[in-house]
Amino acid sequence: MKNRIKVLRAERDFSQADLADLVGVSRQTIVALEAGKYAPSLTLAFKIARVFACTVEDVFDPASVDAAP
Amino acid sequence: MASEKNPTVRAARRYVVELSIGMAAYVVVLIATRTVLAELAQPWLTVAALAPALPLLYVFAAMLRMLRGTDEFARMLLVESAAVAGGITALLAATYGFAEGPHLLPHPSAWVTWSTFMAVWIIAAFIIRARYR
Repeated sequence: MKNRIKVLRAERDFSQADLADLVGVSRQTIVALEAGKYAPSLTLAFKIARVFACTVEDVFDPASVDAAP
Repeated sequence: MASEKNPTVRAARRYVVELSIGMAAYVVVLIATRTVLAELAQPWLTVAALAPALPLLYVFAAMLRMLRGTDEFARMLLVESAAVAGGITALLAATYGFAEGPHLLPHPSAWVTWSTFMAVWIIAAFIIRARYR
């Protein structure tokens, strides 16, 4: 799933480790999220959005998710 | 650098400590029981023979605690690699079993299944982790 985590993180001058600490995950999880290779749970998506003071849709691109069959 | 407040980091550190304690206890119990095994009669022979499984039970509990305490991505990687390892081991065990039936292959030790599972789990974890980088 495409997302703006890397951009939003850079705007706030957060490192990957900073963001990992703020949402309570490992840095590897942030790496996988930024690469768009891992789609987070709703809980993690909301935590990330809250850290950036955005909505979930501002962080994650719903258009990049395949439509359910 | 991830901080001590990070629950995933705390879970990983606690697991390392618990795994170290469990494996140290396993080695001690294994050496102690194997030293006296030849001198024991039933029922203590059975007790001594099975005693090393107790620290392994503690290690298994530590793994489950780590699995629950770690983050969702790490949990997914662990579960996915364990599922692949379980499937491949089951497939190999069944295939071997078919060949073992008509005595084409010898009857192996149960340790072979465990070793196969662990070896495949390590390889599967490495490959699956690389896919998400």
